[in-house]
Amino acid sequence: MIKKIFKYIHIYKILFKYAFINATAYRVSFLVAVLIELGYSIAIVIFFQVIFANVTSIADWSYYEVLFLQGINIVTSEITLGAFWLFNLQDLPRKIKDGEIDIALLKPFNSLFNLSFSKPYFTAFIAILPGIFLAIYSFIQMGLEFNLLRLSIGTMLLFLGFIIAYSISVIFSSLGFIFDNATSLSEVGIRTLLAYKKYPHTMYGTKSGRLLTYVFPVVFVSSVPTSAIIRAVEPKYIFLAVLLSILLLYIALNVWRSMIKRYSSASS
Amino acid sequence: MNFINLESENTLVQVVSMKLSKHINQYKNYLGTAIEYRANLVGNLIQEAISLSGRLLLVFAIFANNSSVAGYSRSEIIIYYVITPIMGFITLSMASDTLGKQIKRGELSNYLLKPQKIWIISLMKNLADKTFYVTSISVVYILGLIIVFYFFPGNQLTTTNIFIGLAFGALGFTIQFTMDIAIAWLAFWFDDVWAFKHVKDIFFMILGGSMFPLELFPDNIEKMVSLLPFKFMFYTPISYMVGTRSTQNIFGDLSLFFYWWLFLGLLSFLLWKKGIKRYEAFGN
Repeated sequence: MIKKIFKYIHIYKILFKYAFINATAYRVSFLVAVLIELGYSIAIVIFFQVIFANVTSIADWSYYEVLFLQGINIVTSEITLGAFWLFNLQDLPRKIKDGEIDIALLKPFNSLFNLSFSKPYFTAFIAILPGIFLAIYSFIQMGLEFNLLRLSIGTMLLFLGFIIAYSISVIFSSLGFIFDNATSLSEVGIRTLLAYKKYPHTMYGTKSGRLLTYVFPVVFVSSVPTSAIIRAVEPKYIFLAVLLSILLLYIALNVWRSMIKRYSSASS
Repeated sequence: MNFINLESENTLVQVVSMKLSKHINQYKNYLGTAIEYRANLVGNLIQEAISLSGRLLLVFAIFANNSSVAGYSRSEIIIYYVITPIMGFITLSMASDTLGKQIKRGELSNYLLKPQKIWIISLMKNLADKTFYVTSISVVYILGLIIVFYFFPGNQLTTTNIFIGLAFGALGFTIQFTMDIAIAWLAFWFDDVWAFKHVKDIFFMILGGSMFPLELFPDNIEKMVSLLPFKFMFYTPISYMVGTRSTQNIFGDLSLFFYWWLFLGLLSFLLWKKGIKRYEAFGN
């Protein structure tokens, strides 16, 4: 088992290296891509800047708390998009339609790993830097003391949130095996994540809060980890994050296996 | 005795209808393609509903402690955000993406041989996609508007306001399409124009009124932003539709629209003239 994990880490290192070479081959394009990612991050910051020019808080979260959340949100969005979405799962419906899955199935490693992680979007990993700077800036402005325990819990929750985000994306992308070329349908998962995870989880009412915590647990991707670092987090959220990440990953793997079984090639 | 030259009148009518029919046939073909992948429509609808519901939940949270924000009541902001996606469908243009790739790959050559101007082909495709989406989601939106009327009876969504809003929405599409064509022609000089498209999208998000009504900006910034063309994508048509923008501004807005449309049209024309001279395509 350990040997297998190291094998996939080694494979990913090679894939990441090639992604870096490809991304930086044309330096101007790479720089422009980084600036575009920065532009979208700035747009989010401007959005909340304008909102807070007119209000003093959102669901008891102050301006700098929300700004810290946006910093974490930028980091999680870029990792999610760059690690497994943009050039991987997003492209799955087209690959299914064109029969390109056959090549992935023939390779001597897991097909889900291949189709999820084989083409990292390197630029996104650079674009997490503005998010980190924004988070650090906001943390300093809040005048909070650095707490290693909170940071560790927050980091663990971020990792579990990443597993949840990945599992949701896999489940929805697998719809491409059922509906021909249904690109927008398979994007529902990632769009839901991106739409809801940037807001404080305490802002959601009873019904929507339950839906986004227990059924479609996007609150664990950015908001709950942020809360763990700068505010406080109820122990139940830690327990739920562990439980839901394992459960959703289990569901995603099984959905994938059953979809691969029903896949029939387009005579590639 | 005067003879009425009926033959030449018919010829003129025939010529006009022939020119129009090839564009209309192009439009029908693209509409057929758009209808072919219907599952994408369901996905698009769900995505819009998700994005909208996220915004509405934020509005509810903001207005939990505030009765008005920048002069907007809760119901006005909610109606504004409910209309934003439909206005986005009306004003959206995807010309730069397609045309830019065609220039880069040399596929433009095929279109240069056709008896149609390429920008008209692109326009027909955009209109076909738009027809399909707007027609398909109109049922959902009529239902949504009925719900809005029921929960917010004091709103100003009158027939006149809706008509003015839709008219400005059409103008918004015209400006965005012209801007998109100009961006597409940049592909004659740059390897890829995707960056310009994203810059345009970012400007529309912030300065077009998609993220929030422009009144939320500080006054001096709002004055500058209101002189730019981006507001015609969302803010201006939606504001007229919901009644927060007085009809006294119509003349000023139309003047500004024509100014920007002429400027962007001229820019697009010059870029095409210069660009097509340097266009090269090999092996196709």
